[in-house]
Amino acid sequence: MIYFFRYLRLSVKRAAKAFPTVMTITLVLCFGVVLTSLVVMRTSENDDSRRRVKVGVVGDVTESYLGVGLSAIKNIDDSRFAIDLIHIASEEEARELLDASEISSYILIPDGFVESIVSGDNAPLTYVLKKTSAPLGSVLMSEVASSVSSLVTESQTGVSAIQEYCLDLGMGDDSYDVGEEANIVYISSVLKRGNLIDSDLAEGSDALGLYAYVFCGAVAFFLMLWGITCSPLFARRDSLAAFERLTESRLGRKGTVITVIGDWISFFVLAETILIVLSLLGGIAIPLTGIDLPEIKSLGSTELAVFAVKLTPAVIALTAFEFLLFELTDSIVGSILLQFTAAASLGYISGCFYPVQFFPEPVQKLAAVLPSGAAFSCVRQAFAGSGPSLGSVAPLIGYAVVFVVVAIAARAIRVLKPN
Amino acid sequence: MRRPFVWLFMLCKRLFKKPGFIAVLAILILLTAAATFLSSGDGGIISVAVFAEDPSEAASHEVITTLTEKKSVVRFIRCSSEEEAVDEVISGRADTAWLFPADLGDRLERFPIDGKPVMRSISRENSVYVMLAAEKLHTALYPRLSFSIFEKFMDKKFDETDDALLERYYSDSYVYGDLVGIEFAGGETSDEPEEYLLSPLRGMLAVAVSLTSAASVMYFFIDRDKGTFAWIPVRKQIYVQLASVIIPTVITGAVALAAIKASGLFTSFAVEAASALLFCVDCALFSILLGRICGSALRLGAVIPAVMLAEIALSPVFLNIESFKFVSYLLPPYHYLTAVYRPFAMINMIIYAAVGGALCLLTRKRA
Repeated sequence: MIYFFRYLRLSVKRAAKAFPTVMTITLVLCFGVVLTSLVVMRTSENDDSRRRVKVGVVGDVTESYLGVGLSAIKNIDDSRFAIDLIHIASEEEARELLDASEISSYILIPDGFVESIVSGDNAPLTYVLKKTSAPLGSVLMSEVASSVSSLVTESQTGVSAIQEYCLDLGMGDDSYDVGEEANIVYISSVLKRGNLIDSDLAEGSDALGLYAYVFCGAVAFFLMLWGITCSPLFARRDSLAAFERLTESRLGRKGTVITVIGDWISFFVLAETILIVLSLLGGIAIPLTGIDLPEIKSLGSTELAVFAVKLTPAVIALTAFEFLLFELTDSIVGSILLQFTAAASLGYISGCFYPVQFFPEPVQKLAAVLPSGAAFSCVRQAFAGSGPSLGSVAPLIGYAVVFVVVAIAARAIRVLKPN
Repeated sequence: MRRPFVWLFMLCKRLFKKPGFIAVLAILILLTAAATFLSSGDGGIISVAVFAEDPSEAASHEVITTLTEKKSVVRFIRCSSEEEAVDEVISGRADTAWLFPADLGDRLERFPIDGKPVMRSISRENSVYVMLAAEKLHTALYPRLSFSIFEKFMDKKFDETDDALLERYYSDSYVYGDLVGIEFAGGETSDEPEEYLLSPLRGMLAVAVSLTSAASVMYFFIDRDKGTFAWIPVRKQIYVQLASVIIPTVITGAVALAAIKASGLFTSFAVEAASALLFCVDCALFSILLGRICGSALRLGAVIPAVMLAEIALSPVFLNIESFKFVSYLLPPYHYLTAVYRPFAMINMIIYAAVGGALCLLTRKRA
């Protein structure tokens, strides 16, 4: 036991000496994570000066019904996005503006569009957007376009049926006046469709809002990546191997256990210390970022420090995982490669990039039992204020024990391997 | 003539003896398999808990069937009670709950006259996804509402209340077809919803290639500091560095390309191969220049995670971000992910390679 405490003291001293370097690297990493989160939040921020999406309109928009129709499209999403419909003279110009990202998309109105609607022939509008490797925006716009299409064709059906009835009654040209009257009724009903549903907000929900989720995702991903900053300290190097062989020869198998647990504990202590320092700095930095989200802007240094302490179970598990990765690689570069790739892959599956609800249910269940998913769940519970439950702490401690045991085995194999 | 090939072979051999490099290639393959599996299930951008007081009621049955019959961005959770549906929302398993009353059909018939809501929804917050789902619900309710508006109009205008006659006129006048067609710049149309879960795979593989390139520069620095290339004239070491960075980048790029092919995201062979090759060259040059700025393996290792995060955020991997474009233009994955769907943008990659190559030659050590 005495050897363990002696080694632990040495290991903690070594970590303390490296603290300024690790802190500097951590701040660089933190800057990257914060910038990423800010970019995501600003992209979908909902404040009083709403984000306006620019959509071009190509074609003849002078017809009155079309003007009303475009107004209906503009109001189809009347909260988060206000759409700026910009009239563009030609499709070539619209393509150029789309390529230059001056507009997010454009609507191509064919000649005689309104006449085709009135006659029921329905020459379709074309909604043109850029194909990208991040199609979430176009997926959402496809859904909106489908809704618009359905609302208009159903309304057309009603108006056409009324006009057919009028024509069968022998009303002649008067049927068009009746048709116009019916159009007004249907347009009014489309614009008032929000009244169909009585919407309430749920009370007593602990579940996080979208932005709080993004914040927790950033924190969880930061914790998964953080091991990279300690690669120079803990990644396998020849000098460490000589020390480990010496320890094994003096203390036997105990030596390996002592050194692994001692190194891991010093890694964990370093992690907790840095988290506390970051939380104090975060309380000062958050107001400077200008974020206007209620869940985030109210976080001061004290709240963040309490939050950091509540993250302890997640830090225990993730530091054990990252320490295991240190033991599995033979150089600093290999460690960085493996840590980042593992963090990005696990972060994706665990919902740090896309909300985990996006994934099929079996995957959600898998994500919950992965160490990264369990850690992320702990982060969310810590942020929600209640603190991590026993149900989320126990698997994290279990994972930590398994990872440390495997790390001991990995080091023992390496020490025993002849040079 | 034989010597360059001997060098290439030896550099490859050293590379494949590094466990970190092998592990990255293995993780790329696992990631592709995982992403392909993820996209095949019933995921959804928004989860909706659905409860119908009387599931056999015609209107409720019709609306719920319309909503659930086609794959969409909404995932539905059927609940057997209102309390269960609300609990799904409170617990966070669902974003919103839709509660269909037992007399939905009657309420839809009365709506044109009394304007009273026909059903309830309970949400945790009014996010854009909840509103999108609400639009889908409006669209599903609207056919019945449209007929109800038609009935009331005919009654008020013409005193016509013959149900059979009204139904005949309505069904005979039914307008089919989509009013709005989706097209991508370049002429490709879209009939099927895009795989938003699978599409980020290309971006993540691109970032992994970029990471390998940066790590290769770190390996070169370590070898250089150990004196491995001491016998090569300083002015010629740039070519060794280029070879030692481009080879692992191209190998990782080839594995990534094969993964894209296996996942179903592949477009055309010519475009994919050309853009991938240019991307590997751009990554190598970017990493070499980044290494020159950092000066040592340790400093480069410190900035790599931040650079990778910037690439994930500012390239179209998960989202299309229009801000910070001046930073995006510096990142090779941005140009690659743009050029794959707009081949004309490969010119930007060629310009990037030319500028990067010139800067590498200009900033190399001469003695």
